[in-house]
Amino acid sequence: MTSINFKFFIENDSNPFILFTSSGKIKYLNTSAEVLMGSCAPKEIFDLAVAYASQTFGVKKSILSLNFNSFQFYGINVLYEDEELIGIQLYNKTIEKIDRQMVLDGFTLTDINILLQANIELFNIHYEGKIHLLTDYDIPEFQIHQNNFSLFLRKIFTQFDESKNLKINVKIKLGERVVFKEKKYAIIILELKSHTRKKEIDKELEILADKNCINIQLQKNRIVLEVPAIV
Amino acid sequence: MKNVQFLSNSAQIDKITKGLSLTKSLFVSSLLIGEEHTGKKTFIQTLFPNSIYVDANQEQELITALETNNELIIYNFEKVKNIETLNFENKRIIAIANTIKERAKCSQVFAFIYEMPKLEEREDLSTLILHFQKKIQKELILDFEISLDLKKLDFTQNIKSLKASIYKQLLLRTLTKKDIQELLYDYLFRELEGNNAYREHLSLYEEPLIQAGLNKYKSQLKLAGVLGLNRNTLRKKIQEYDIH
Repeated sequence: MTSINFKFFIENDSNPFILFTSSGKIKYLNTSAEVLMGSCAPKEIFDLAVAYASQTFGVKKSILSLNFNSFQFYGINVLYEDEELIGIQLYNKTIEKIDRQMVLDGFTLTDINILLQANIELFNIHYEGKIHLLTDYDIPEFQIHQNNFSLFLRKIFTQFDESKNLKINVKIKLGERVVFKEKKYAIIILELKSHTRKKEIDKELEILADKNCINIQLQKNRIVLEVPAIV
Repeated sequence: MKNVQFLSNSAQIDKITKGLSLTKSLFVSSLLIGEEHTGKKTFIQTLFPNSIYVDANQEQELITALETNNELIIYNFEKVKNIETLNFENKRIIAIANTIKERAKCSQVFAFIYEMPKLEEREDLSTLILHFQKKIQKELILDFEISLDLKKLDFTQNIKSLKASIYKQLLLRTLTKKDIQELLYDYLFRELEGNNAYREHLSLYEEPLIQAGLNKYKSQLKLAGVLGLNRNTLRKKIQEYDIH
């Protein structure tokens, strides 16, 4: 039987997964866990894993409500099969964001992939690094102010213009919806990540995000946008 | 709109083409900046052949066009006096400009800003030169092979000066003795005056003669022999005309 590389699937799971050594050092964490680490200390999660681990080697699921800033979880799964490593998976709680402030003047139904591709082409004219795009081409069209969103993206891209490579990931956020005019809509995650980024215009990016009805997370080496997919 | 063709084999221009093509279905504002005579308008015409084109020099015409069209190409955009008064909301706008004074303002209005490279900076320059040479040779009915002196091509005004310098080189290469004499006749007829005209116009003959001779024979001694002149006479003339 050929061996299967499960790492890719764990890496891109929207539920955070962290693997600790017996002393509490992080051995591995997936993309969602990296984002979570911006809102809590590794020790908090390690203590949680130890406290909820099964008495002997094995797997134990527990239902409990956890909050770390905007992150909410309804349960955890703790796994260990030897004395060296212990893993913990946190299960995202379904959240409905209610945002009555959104004004969609000038917004039109848009294929985010076309808009993103046009912006990548513009950035690529002078960018000397490599761009890796991982996207979901099945994301349906949703309301975007195309010019304002492109202006916003152009500024975001400049934050990575000195990086050697840039990873762009577009996906639908699982377990979370936005409520607009009493209807529920999906949230699209647009993540740009590199080894480093500039931070001089973070304040301006927050203002532009607000103008585009987008939630922005500005982290050390990545920028994550949560775009409401209102149709 | 007449049929136009923009010739390019440049990777940089390919990227602009790709970016602009992707915006064909989007309501966004794009700006293409570049020096005069770099082919910006022709380039846009090949991508958007059926769009409405409006000259920014015609202010009222521009305002009316913006009110009535969802897609508009604005050329001579540098002539716009007040960018803020233009309403680009939910329209596909492509503006073409030679220069931009208010770059910060443009940066707030245009989501996509592209820069057309100068002709001299393009990596497909040799293809362009060959294309213009063939075209001009055809126009001048010169059906024999001519190699251009690339050092004498002029790129200061991009395509305009390049074409002019190719015309000039091709014409000069095909002049016969009779053509040169006719040229000289016209020139001298206009210029002759005073009481020392013979000496004053002798340089028309002597200067190119010595210059060509030195380039051909690489030695003053050899050239003096070919010209049948005394070595000292030749040296004196070289100094007189400041030939290096």
